[in-house]
Amino acid sequence: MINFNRLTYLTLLLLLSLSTGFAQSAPGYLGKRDIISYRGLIGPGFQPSGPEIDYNVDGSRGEYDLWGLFYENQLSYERVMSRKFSLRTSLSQQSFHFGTSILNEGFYFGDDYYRLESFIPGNAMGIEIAARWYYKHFAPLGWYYEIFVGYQNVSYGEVNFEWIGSSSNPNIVIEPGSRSLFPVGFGWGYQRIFEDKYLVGFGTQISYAFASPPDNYFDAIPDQESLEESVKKAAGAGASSGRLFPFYFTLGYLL
Amino acid sequence: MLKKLSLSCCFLLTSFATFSQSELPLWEEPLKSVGEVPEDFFRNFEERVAIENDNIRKSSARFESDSQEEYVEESEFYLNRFLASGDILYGDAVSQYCNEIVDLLLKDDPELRAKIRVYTVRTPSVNAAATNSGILLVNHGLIAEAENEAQLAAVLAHEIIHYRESHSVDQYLERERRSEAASGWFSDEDEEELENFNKYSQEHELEADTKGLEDYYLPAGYSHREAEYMMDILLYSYLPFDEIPYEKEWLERGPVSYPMEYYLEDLKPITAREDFDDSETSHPNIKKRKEAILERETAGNDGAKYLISEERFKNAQKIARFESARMYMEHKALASTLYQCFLLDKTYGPSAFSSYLRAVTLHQLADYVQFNVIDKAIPHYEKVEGQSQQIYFLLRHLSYEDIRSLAVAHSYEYIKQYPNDIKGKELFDLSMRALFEESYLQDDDFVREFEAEMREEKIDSVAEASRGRSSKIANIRTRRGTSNLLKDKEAAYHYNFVPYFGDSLFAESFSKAAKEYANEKEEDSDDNVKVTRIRVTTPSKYDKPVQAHGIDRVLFLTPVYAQTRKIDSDEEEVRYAKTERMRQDYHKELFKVARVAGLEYDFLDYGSLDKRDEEKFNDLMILRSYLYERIKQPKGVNYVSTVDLVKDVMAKYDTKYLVFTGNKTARMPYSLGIFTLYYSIFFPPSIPYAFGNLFVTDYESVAFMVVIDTETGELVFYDETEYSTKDSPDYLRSVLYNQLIQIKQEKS
Repeated sequence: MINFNRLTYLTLLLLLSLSTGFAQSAPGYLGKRDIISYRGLIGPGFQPSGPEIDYNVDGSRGEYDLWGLFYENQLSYERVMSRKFSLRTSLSQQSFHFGTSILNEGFYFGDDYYRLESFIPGNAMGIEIAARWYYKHFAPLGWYYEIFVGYQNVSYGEVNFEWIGSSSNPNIVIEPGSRSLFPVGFGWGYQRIFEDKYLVGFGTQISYAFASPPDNYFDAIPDQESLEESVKKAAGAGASSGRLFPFYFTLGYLL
Repeated sequence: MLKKLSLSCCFLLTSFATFSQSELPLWEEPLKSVGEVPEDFFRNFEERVAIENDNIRKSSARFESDSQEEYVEESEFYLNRFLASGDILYGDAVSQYCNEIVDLLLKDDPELRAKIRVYTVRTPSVNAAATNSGILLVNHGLIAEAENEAQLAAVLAHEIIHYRESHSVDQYLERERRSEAASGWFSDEDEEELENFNKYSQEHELEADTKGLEDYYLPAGYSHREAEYMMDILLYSYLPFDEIPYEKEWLERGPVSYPMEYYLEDLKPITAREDFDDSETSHPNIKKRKEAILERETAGNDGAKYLISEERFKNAQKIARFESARMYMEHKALASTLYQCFLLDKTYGPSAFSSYLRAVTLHQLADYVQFNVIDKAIPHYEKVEGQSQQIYFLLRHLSYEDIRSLAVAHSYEYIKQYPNDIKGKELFDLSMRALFEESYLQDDDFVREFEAEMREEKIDSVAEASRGRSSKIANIRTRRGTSNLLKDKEAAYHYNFVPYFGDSLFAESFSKAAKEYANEKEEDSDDNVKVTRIRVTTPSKYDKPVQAHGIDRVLFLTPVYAQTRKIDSDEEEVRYAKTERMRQDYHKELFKVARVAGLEYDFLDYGSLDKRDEEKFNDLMILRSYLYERIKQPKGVNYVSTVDLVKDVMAKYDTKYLVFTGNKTARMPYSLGIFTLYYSIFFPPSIPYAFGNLFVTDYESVAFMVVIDTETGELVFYDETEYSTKDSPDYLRSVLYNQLIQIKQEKS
């Protein structure tokens, strides 16, 4: 599912070369310079908690949660590069639903009126590389700042739009698709080590994925292509919205 | 102000005065402690505090328990540090003699005698102290200056009263009480309180003078008059142990005298007065103390100057004077070291000790001049009174070349006289190398033979003296005659080696050093390398270059540790009990991390001694002394006067690398995190950080580590790491590993 494109290979190559080059100048923690960790990112996002959409009997939209809880799993590897700096690379995954935008309000497609049958399940897999500066102590201890760039592949399954009306027009079906995002961001956090091998930390970050929201069509979608484009944009916005201001915790192990 | 004073109140320091048998320890035999190590030196802090609290509770119900415990923690903390300073001696000839005087003074009070322990302190300052736990500390400076045993006994009697009457606890509580009462808004009130407090302290001093006299000193049979005379010793205690006019021949070498401008015509007068204004001092002025002593009537004859032995006093005094010279050197008071050596030569005759110390002092002084930090070693002569002023003035006027060449001349004279002394040969070689490498001098800068007219002038001036002219006239003519020969006032060093070029050893060493330097210079110019005498590099604060020394084994010396609480930018409180606990933890972390880093180590610490560790105790003293002397030197200086002693000690621990380390963590004052929280609203992602900041205390820490190669004196590793966190185990380990791995890891 993930496109291990050039960016991934470049990232790994960069890590390898840096770690070799700085070998002598990075004592790490008692000589341990490599950390694997699990990071859980939690935050508010434009993500409904499930697929169900509550429509009223008259067909109008019922109550639903505009904000949902975003959660992303990350498997990270951090390499201490010098006394104060480290590099982190993470594989990320998040499952989510999207569609809390114009799409679930219903829209005119030609003369017919359609609405989203249910929120769309999406999945985002990605890779991220971050440079960290530990400003109060030696890496990987204490408070740090980091900047990061990443790549995310956001995919979604088949999307059904049902026709609202007396005749029996067929539903509009959008085939499964995907889009790429390139999030960048800035974060800061705090890490401590216990028993010389376990790492616990927390932090927060701000990131932006250049994922524009769907266009506002004023309730009218001109053609199928525009509809597909809107779904793609909605998927990207959904995946990235939670990563805007998340809080995260880290549980790690020093190798 | 009162609060600040309270930090130094662990001892009642009394300006008063002290000593045994055994041979005079010259350089090869420094004074050492003898016998079982007293528990005072290795008892742990908690135990010490508990014992002391019990003692106070049993002996007095006057104290508030909170203040008492606070006082005990504070005083035991500083006492602990002082006892572990390496400057305290027990069981040696001098300490033994002091103990015997106390035996005499307390012969009728065995219960009190059993509680008192007497130790001596290696310092030239004239002082003595009593702690609340019954330790009497007598400085070598006091023994060096006292005129006889009776004067020393007077001081000891005075200190016994301080202990018996718990003056130190009283003063602490009084200070606390006044400090709380004066914590108003007006500083004037503080000053008034301070003055009142000084009166309170002065009453204690007078009580110690008079009761010491009545209860112990006079009944023992010591002279009443000597107790009064001791006050004169205190009055002039800021001057060296004698006031002998400095003789220029003592330092000058070669046929040419330094110009008259190098010497003071008129010395600054001695200004000490008996009736000085004592409103701002803890002790009454000397006049009042003398009056208080003379008010006590004595029946019959005046008493004795010596009850034990004049010979033992003179011997102890001699030891104390030699030890004081050593301590001047250790504390980098170079002019004082030279004048003390001059006094030793004049009083006891020339010795290997003073001859060597003089050569080392000159060698080190040249480095201070080279690095332009002479102020650290030679205070301005106007700050000095008495005959020693002359040498301060002279050293300030000698040129760098003068001092370098004098160092060579004096070290050469030393090896000529003591040819089997290895350290002397090393010093001579080092001085000779430095003469060329550390200055721009070349071999043809030094005159090998007298010029004809100079020889005639020299002979004439000597003849002048032999013709029966007065010493004064002969000296004036000689001085004028030779100094007038100089082409300019900077040129005296050209002639310093004239008397030595005839010696093959000197001539060969000189030629060799000059040739080696010329070759080095040639190589440097071939490689187009710019030769710089002083290289100063400033490493980045955040990511200093990592060093690799490939050292396998080291000896750790007692680390220093402090945990404090900053009250504001000026005031900081030590957390005594916490500091002591963390110091113990720090030891464990240090050893653990050394093992992880693969560094073999041995460890010397007062806390880990037991009563059988006399040898280790003395090793610690020598190493601490070496360390103080070494780390006080400016950058680039690496010759330590005790180099031979230290080599022997380090050989026992199978390494030449001495490690001194420590950590200080200060808890910062509470910062207004609420503002951070307020401003974070404008930048929402910072809210968690700002919120956390409300509850997280800020800390500032600094950890240092010094590694010295004791064979060469070279500072092979120095690291000072600042970190803004607490001294929790993971943080400490991280810092220690960062330091130790640099010592251990091989150069790539």
